[in-house]
Amino acid sequence: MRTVIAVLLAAAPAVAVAQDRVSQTRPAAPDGVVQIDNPAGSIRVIGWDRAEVAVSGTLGPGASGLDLRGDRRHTWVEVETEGNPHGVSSDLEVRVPAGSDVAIESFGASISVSDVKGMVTAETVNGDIRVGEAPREVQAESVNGGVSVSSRGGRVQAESVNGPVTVRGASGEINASTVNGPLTITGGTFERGRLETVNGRVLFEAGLAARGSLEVESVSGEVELALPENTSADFSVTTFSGDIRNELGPPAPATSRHTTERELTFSTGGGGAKVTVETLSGSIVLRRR
Amino acid sequence: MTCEHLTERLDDYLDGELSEAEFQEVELHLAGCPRCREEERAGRAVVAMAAALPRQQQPPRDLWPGIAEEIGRRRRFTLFSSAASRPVVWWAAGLAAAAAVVVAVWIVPRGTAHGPAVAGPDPRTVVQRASAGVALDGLDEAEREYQRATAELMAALGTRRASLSPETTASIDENLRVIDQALAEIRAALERDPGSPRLGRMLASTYEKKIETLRRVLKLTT
Amino acid sequence: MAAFEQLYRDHVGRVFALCLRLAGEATLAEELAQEAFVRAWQKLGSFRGESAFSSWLYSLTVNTALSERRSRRRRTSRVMTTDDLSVFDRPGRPPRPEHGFDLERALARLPPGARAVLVLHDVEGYKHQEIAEMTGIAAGTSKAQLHRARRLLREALTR
Repeated sequence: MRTVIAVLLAAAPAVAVAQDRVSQTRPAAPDGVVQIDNPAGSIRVIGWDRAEVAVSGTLGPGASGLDLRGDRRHTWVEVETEGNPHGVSSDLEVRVPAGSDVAIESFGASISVSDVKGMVTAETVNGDIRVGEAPREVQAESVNGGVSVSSRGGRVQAESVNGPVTVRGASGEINASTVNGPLTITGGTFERGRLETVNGRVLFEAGLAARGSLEVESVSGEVELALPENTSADFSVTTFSGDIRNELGPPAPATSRHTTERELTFSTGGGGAKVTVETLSGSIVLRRR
Repeated sequence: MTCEHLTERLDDYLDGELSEAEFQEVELHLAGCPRCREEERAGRAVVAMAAALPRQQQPPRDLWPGIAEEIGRRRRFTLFSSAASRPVVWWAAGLAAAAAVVVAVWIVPRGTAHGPAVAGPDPRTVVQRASAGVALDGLDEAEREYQRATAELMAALGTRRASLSPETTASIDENLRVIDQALAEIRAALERDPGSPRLGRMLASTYEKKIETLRRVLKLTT
Repeated sequence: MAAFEQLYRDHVGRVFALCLRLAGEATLAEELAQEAFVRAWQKLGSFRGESAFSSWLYSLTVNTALSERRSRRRRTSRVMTTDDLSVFDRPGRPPRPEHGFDLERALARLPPGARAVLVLHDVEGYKHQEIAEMTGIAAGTSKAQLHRARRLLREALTR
């Protein structure tokens, strides 16, 4: 994130205004790139059918202005601050051409994106991220906030450290990871899925494509897979010290004398898709949806 | 007290290290000796000027390229030298390659070159290390690389702590604590089951999460 | 290494200033500063964060500068005289201080041992015991060197 040291203009008002309203517009290509940078507060991005980027909202105290610039193919929207940007909280609503690719960076802002069809990238530390309605590709990362994606296609990458990650109705490819927060994938059918957590609870309640693959890795978080009745897949399920409850096939073999490790390999419906689950101590549940 | 004596005592006098008695003697002499007063003034001036020297100065040229090159040279040497007595663990190559990918993650600085920040592995480093796999000592080596990368990031983050709120630093610390606990659990399992490739992979990917968390916070704090 | 480069950029000003004053000469100071950062990188794995990173780095810099000097003394017996003091002309730095006395240049002309102690004690604020631990000389020797340095500087000032 850039902190732009404001140039003091001779025309600057002598008295600082506590809350600055902004309203600016620039022409933009229907499928260009829009980059948004707001250190804290909120960022709402909404796709529309005009070839314009329109920014409205209020800048917080400490903000020295809104920088809206670029050529038609590449637009920047940045809240300028003096000094430490983290405390500068501004609420922005940014309307972008629906076919744009959007890249958002913040430290503390909550982010929401809707009606954008291009690629959406959003990163924040303390805020939540919500992305809705069919972007081509989503990459959403938070540290302390939650990430929630509802999408109808394309590739989704959703990560949080502390917050929950929830993905609804997606298809294609999913890469999701948390450290501490729950990881929930519901609905949709996946070609490729990779779910990782350290301590969070993983719930995958979705479908797998015929030759699809799903890999789940957890250290101590529980893993629950709820798959459709007609899933044909080869399963490889391992845990070092957790339990396995399998409603889709045979039970896990008893532990050996030497190690608490359990390994379960089986197939449903003649196989085809590939499911791999590995945990250290997290328990594993396999069931039907 | 003679002027010679005073010269000998002057610095202790200026540093406040004289006994009460000696202190009085010096003051008495100074009161009656202009030449020594002159020297005392010069003494104070020297100490004051030294303390006021600017503590910062940029070098005449950028030293970073030389530093980076030297680091690269020493790092390659460490990795490629193999002691005959060390056992070779076949899966360690994969682990270290994974480590290399993480350690070599670079961030295109957003500065004058506008563009989305790009994070990706340096392919040359990955290939270098993957091919060096046979010579590596395995888990210890890879763990050290991870620990170095983590320390690097934590130090860099440390200098930015002032700009973070206490809640943020507390939550980052908590996140790292959870990961460290998981790392400890995996290491404990490795002790019961050494050489397990699965555990090795789990260790690597947990380390990667730690580094990824730090890297991300650092990037968004810069 | 991007994070380490950031550390370099954050701290090089301080590290170089320290090296420059200890070395009294720019080329050597650059080498010392580079060596300090390389060593910091190598030892970074052992930095546990008990103290501030900056303190750890500067202490390492002092050690690097002093041990380099010791090993150089063993390797070469040349007396270091320096005529190129243009490195002390920083942009924005007043060319002639009030008294017409330039402490930096006078420092550079001190004998190395005395200069090191004066920099560590009067510029950096270390105590004699700390200097003794860092340099391997006795605390009493540190004090003697400090007094010698200050006396030489006083003479230069009142000349």
